Amino acid sequence: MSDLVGADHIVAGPGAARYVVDSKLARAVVFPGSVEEVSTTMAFASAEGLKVVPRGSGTKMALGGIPDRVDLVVVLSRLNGVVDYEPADMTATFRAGSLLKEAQAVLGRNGQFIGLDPPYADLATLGGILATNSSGPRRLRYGASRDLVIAIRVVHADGKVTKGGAKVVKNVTGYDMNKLYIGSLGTLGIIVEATFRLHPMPAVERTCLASLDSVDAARDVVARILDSPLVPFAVELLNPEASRRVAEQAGLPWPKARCGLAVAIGSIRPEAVDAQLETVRRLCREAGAAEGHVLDGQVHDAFWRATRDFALGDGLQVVLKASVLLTKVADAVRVGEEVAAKQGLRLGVVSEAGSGIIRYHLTGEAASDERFRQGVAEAVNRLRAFAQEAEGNVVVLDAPPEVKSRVDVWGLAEKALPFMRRPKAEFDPQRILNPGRFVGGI
Amino acid sequence: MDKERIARELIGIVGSDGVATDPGELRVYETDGLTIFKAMPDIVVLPRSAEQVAGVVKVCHRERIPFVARGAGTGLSGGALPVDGGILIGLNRMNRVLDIDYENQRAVVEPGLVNVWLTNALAPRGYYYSPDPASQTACSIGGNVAENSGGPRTPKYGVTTNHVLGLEVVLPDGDIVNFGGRTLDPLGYDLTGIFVGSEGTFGIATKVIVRIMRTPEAVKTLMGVFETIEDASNTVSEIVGQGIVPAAIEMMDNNSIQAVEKGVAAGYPLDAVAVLLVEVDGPKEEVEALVGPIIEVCKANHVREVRVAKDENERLLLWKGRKAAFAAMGQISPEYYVQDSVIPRTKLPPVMKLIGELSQKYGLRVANVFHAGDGNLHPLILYNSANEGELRKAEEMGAEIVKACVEMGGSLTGEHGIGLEKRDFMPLMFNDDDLEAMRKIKKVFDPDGLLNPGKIFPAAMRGGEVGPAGQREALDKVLRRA
Amino acid sequence: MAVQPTGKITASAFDQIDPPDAELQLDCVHCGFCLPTCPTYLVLGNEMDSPRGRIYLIRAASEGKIGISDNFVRHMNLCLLCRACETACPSGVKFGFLMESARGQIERHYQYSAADRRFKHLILRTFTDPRRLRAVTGLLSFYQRSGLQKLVRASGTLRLFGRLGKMEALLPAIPDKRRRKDLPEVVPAKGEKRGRVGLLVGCVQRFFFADVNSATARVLSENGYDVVVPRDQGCCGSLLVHEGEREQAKALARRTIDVFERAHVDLVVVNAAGCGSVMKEYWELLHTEPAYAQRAETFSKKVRDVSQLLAQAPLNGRLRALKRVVTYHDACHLAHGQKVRQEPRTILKAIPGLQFVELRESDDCCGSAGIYNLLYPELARQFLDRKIERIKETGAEVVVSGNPGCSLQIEKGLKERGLNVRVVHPVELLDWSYHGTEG
Repeated sequence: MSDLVGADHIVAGPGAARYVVDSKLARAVVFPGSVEEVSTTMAFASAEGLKVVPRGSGTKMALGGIPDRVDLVVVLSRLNGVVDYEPADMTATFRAGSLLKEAQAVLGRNGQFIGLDPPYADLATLGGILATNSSGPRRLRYGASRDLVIAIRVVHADGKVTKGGAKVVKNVTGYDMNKLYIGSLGTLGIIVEATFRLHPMPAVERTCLASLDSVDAARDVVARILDSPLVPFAVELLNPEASRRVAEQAGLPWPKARCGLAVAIGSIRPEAVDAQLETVRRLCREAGAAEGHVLDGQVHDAFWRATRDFALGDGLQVVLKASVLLTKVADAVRVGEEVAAKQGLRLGVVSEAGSGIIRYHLTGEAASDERFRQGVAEAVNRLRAFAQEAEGNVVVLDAPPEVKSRVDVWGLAEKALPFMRRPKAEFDPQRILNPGRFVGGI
Repeated sequence: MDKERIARELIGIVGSDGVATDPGELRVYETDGLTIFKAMPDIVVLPRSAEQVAGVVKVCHRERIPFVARGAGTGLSGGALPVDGGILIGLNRMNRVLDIDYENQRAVVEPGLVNVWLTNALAPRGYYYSPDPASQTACSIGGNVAENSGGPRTPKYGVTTNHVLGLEVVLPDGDIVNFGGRTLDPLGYDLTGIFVGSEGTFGIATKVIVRIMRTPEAVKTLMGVFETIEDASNTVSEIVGQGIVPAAIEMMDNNSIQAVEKGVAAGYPLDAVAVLLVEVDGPKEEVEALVGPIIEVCKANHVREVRVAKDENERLLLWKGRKAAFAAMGQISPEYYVQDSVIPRTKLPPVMKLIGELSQKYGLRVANVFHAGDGNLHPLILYNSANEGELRKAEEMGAEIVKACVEMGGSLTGEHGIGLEKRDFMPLMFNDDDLEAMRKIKKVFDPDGLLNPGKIFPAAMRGGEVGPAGQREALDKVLRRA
Repeated sequence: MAVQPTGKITASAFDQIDPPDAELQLDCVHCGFCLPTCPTYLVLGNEMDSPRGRIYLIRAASEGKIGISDNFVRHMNLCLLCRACETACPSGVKFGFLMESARGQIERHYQYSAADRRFKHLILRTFTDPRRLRAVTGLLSFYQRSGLQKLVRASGTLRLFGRLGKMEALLPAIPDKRRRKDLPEVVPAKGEKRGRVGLLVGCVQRFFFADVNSATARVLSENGYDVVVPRDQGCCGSLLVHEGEREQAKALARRTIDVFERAHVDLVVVNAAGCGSVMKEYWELLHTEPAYAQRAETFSKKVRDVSQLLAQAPLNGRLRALKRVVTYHDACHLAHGQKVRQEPRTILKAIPGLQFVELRESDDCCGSAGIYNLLYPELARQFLDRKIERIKETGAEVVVSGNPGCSLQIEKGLKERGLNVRVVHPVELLDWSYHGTEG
């Protein structure tokens, strides 16, 4: 093993404890420093039948089912940095272990950025973000990973290195392999490099933040904003608990027990931003919302950081992500509040109302006790039933193994499973990569 | 295959008016928008529902008959040609808008729906469907899904895959399955994403769920008239460099202008070396704020004349010219061979220079009309196959262009697809392992290889069989020279 | 492997008497822009019945790859010749010429069944010979007025006559012979004279819509034109060109040219789109005839649709208000054949009080298409139904059409649905407005 990546870059025994996956301790943790090292590691694992869990910074290791077995954890953090970047072409290639934050810093020098702002954006690696299809509020304007990645390099279970896509913003040469790997939780291959199409950073970004009596009051404003020619880059609806916490962290005053609605506008021209914000404020006023106030500069950035990285506290919590029809977002928040109240859970909800993505953060007084686990399981079932009615789904993004063992973390319908298994069977017939963690135990 | 028996069975599924077997008639299906290649189907079937498609596919599967789906037949890579013969399934009778859900910003359509019909249906409520290939008045959304079609508006709004959220698909064994849906982030692998752009080799989409968008409040289209291609290219780079994201930036050279003006009289100056169309859209204030800076960039790059379309009619006429450019080539040449390579935008000036040189070298005129905003070239090599050897020369020249673009870090095709035409170019971009990964995903959908055989993968991967003679030779010649 | 190189040219299925022009065939780059504009493609949904497909078949026949088979003939004949594809074509393919020539070849080389041939010829001979049409319409007028029509329709006798029975349903009210006064040979200009024009009175127009001709003469006279109506004029040959009977058509074209040359007119005015379209293209029909090629070109350049003449300058005289909601149907042979779209609208909009509503898909074929509605009634019916639906949407009381064939067809459709909507020619509306009364 040490021949593969060098003795300095392998950890085993107690040192590996930091890298447990759902409490399962790996036999070794390896830190390859190059694509070739990832490749030889995989070839070795494949030959030896070792089960491999790829890892970046570890911000999303709780996602997915409990793995069948963990032999090797392959940590990609050493595989970082820019591969190539041509500002005038507005494309850039990074190694997968690069932190999103570092990538943005490089690109920011040219007024450019990758249009991704997932949770834990300061810690997360690009590879991890892509593998988990993690996204944030800006998705409304910039799309998700599937819309931003134009080329990808992957190490397969047998160690073969392949690429897909091309380093140009428009390309249909061959199959769109990027789509296959994004969001596949490393079950088909380990992403080692990705090329992104970049966007110019808007010169001005401001947000109209309004408080509303209830989620229901937000429904109409959101619908009217989405049905208008306004082009917000984010429309976020927060329940009172989330509003309070976000306001606190961003240093904003916030009326108690009110929902928050944030509508963010960016442009290269301040007058264009202000004109749109004025319309947003009018729509809020007409819906009976308290006068929206405009966030600018540092407060603006602080607000969105707090929203993006929302957490109920440092303690144990469960995070669920729902995807529903746009018309069902307000209901999804309301149903969440009802079920939380019933189960005696504390709930913060952060929802991307323009995209139909909702994050439920649940915590209880004693997070590890049976009542909590039972409550969470009930909540998952109830919310999943609702989301399925709304043509969507609910995924457990973050939960301790004791909770995960009580629920289906994905909830993929039985009839969709046989076809879903086919790519796995072709790409990783030995089930080397992340066995058991993806939908249906793939 | 026993054509008569199969035809009888197919008639039982779709009715007698939906099956054609007379070779004299089928000839119209032997080619599509790219007339270099021809391949006749044995039978053409025209179903009216997913169930009928599934029925037909089950027959093909049972009898091991190769089959291929065809939309409007506007494709430019031979993607819908039945190269192994067999059954061609025409989807143009399945052309309805099934559902429009404005509140959730989704529409559900059948694959044969003509692209622009969807926008026409949405327009009264102030919505539209963004992907707008130049052939949008004719091409079908099913075809767009197969090719992952682009169009002028892609720099800001993306291509088909960014707007397709779900599919109903008839798999090559006749099963009807659903991928994705109206909501984002469906569970599991992104099967919708991998299906879009699979060039009709994975399955037959029988329903397409798309994102629809609010029509921008304001749109401004500028026409810049340039004396050199280089000035026009630099203008493109500088506009983008200022942080402006135009909805579209399109360029046309003089040959294109000549054809377009004869065909649709769009109002481009006949003596211009290059015309640039730049469109910005969005909220009124933003659009107004962007026009000035764009004009400034044009002026800094020696624009001869820059004109902002004064009303919707003039704007539409400017676009009509651009979108009719390929179709108008009949005005200046009996035939054309169009390439679709993509280059990093910064490589525009050298590649345009190279195309000019190649045009001299081969003695063939080239009309350039392309998506400058995303570096997607469309050199139309003009030829007349009645002149001995001219088609070969056109193909050889095309191969040289493609090779040069790939060497500059580009791609074989930006929106027309690999199809039959460019399959033997694939090794320029992908090695055996890359292709093997693609082969695996093909197997996931079509383990028996019955659906649209002979496409995308190099002919060599089919066991040494050779591709279309002319193209094969042209390519060999160019590649050997490398 | 089935990929083939372009086939070598072998013996053509066509003869050398004006076959579809090979150069014109090459103008088609196979882009497919025409497909969604073709009425038959939209209904039938196969590419053989699309313009691109038909051109491809014509080309294959020209190159001897296919023969003039039953299927070939069917696809050619199912074409409406509406020429919507020409409007859509950025490469400027002259589809009409190709199809007309192809039909000429079919006429010579294809054996229709005896019944088909008789039926088609009966119609053509009737509609393209004013004397026969006069005799027939005289009978028909009697038939309608005497109460015989009611009797026959009630009896169901018509069913026995098959296709002829269907023709009967298309009949408009034939003006009483006493009202159907022929126009004088010259109608002098009123006021300042603008020119001397010849008027083609047509066949169908003359007997079914005589009022349109008299209205045309009055309105032109009002606007400063001497209107010459040559007595010896006959059929222009348009239906024959449409149906591929090119030799007879050429004879009629030559005669029409002779007649109007003798009349010494500045321009030849036509109020029937089908006639105008073909007369503007006599140059093509006669281009192989040395004695007529040049004269046909000169003649074609003189032909105007009446709306073109009237829209080119402000209208003379006093127009009285017509308080009507009006919509306009673009006849194929005006919109696509002659590219005349704005002029009729310009005239209508000049009439005070008139409320003009645009018709959706106004330039889609109504299914009349020469004698198409008689030959293919089931298909024609589908086009008509759609047209009537669109007319209903407008809420118009009057539909304006510049072609007698369309008017007959649309009137039929409206009547069947019991819709109280009149169908008139644009000059009729102008005429009413000048005279302050409705005809």
